[in-house]
Formats: sequence, structure tokens, C-alpha cells
Amino acid sequence: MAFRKACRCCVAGGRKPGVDYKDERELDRYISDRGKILPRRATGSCARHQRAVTAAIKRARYLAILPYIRGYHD
Amino acid sequence: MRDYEIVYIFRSSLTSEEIEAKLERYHAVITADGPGEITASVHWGKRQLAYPIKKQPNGYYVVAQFTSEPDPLRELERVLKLEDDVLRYLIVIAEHPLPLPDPAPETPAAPAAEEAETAEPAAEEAEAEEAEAGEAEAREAEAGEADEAAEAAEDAEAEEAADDASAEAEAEEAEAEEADAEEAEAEETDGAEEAAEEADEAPSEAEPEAEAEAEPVAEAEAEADAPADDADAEEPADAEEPADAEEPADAKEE
Repeated sequence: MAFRKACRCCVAGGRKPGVDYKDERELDRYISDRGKILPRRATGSCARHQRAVTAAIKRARYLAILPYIRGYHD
Repeated sequence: MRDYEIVYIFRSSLTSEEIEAKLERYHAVITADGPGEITASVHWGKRQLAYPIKKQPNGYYVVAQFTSEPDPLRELERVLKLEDDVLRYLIVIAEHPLPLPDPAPETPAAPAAEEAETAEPAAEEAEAEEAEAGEAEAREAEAGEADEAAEAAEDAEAEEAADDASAEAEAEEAEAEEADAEEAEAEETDGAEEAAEEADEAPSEAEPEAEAEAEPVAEAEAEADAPADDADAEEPADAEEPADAEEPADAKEE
């Protein structure tokens, strides 16, 4: 019996905003070791919060809080 | 009027006076004509960029929240685009209260790191305990709505507290690594020490609370609402999802 993992954002705050794009540590859970955004099947997020996470990651990348690519240049 | 949030990344070679002067100038654009107002502002300080911007490896981050009509933003953006010492900026609609991930600039790493380690296992334990209790008594009891709600709320609190604590701790650690760089200024380090002390106290208080809250909840749940927890606790949440189609209004990100 496979149960879907609970969405972290839902557990933490119900349906409202989700991750903050400035919260590097939290966002780190949603990217791969190459810096790619992890799919829903890996993060367990609900649809709403996966969208929010994606948007937050892209903002964080723009602000150089997260890398676009990790482990390529260094 | 709307609540906005702006993140500036300044060239890290600027002095703090220069940065203050520039901030004042930008914020004057918002407050000058109209009812705009700066509601909060936090200096993250010098931070390593995840990738170089304009050949710079570091940047000085400042986050501010303000209320404003939409019009002054155009002027603000115009000014910022002309500014060579602002490596990058981002204006978005504010969604989160400001002092969330507040990497206090240049603080000692040691105590912070310890907290990071202790805070997280605490949260995990609490979760695990709760889960066990729920399963064990699954068949014997009936769901109580009130209990469920209370549980959800308290859970969230407990986890947040632990998360916050470790997030801050890590951020501080990261800052501290940079701390020995050339530009340590007397004023700033003073401020940072104070901040560090505060940070030390806050998470350690939060942690026992989190544990204390989580445990009684686990018991209560075992008595009352185990079946709901067992099978379809998540499904209702998913089902509601599409029904309520309001998109967060924050798509506007010029």
C-alpha cells in the first residue's frame, strides 16, 4: 500500500503561501545536486505548492541565492 | 496600495555609508509623493553569490518591505537600472513577513552549528512518535474533528520552530565563514554579536516547547482520531485543490 508523502508546505502552513524564495535552506530540499528543480514525484508536494516552490526557486536563482547549475563550474 | 518587497544586491566593495546613502535615495522615491511607506528592512550583509554577477563573486544583500501605489515603482526601477553599483534587484509582492531567513551578518559559527544539530532531530522524533501512536490504535477509535485540527496546527508550529532554528543557525554558519574577509567593520561586528546572542537564546527556547507540544498531541491522537489519519488524511486536501482555483496574485514580477 503506497501512500503519498505529505506535502511539506501543506503540513507546515495549510494552503497558504508555501516556501519563501529567500529561505535558502528550505529551497535546498527541492533541488537536485545539480541544481535542478525536483519533480513532484520526488518532493511529494501538492500541485499548488509545487508551483509555488518552482516560482520561489526561480526567484532565488535570479538573486544568486541558488545556482542555476551546481557542480559544473566549480 | 499594496505590500511589496524589494531585494537589492549591492557591489560588496561599497562602504556601509555608501549603501545607506543609496538606500535612502531609493526609498525616497517611494515615500516622496504619495502614501508609500517603508515598513521593514533587513541587511543580510555580504554574502557569496551562487554565481558571479558582473564578475563579482560577492554581493551585499538588503531586503526591504514597503507599501506603495504601483506608479512610484516605475520610477524606482528606472533609477535602479541606471545604477551601476546595484548588481541586481527584485521587486515582488510581499508574501512572507520579513525576519524569516535572516542570516545575521558575520557571526561566530560554533553555538549556531550545535543548535542546528539538536533542533532537527527533535522535530523528527516528534513526528515519528506521533506516527507510531496513530497507527497502533488505529482501529479502536473514532475521529474527532477538533482534535484533528488542533493536531495539525500544533504540528505545524512545532516543525516551524525547529526549522527556523536550524535555518538561522545554518545561515549564520555560512556568514561566519566569510566573516574573516577583509571588510569586517567595527560597527557591524558589534551589531552582529548582539544578533548572535539573540539568535542563540531564541532557538533554544523554541526547541523544548516544540517537543513539549508535539508529545501530548501524539497521545491525544492515539485516543481519538486514528482512522482518519490512517487512510485518507491527505486525500481531502488533494481533492479541494482544483476546486479553489485562485492563483496567488504574485505573478506580477516585473
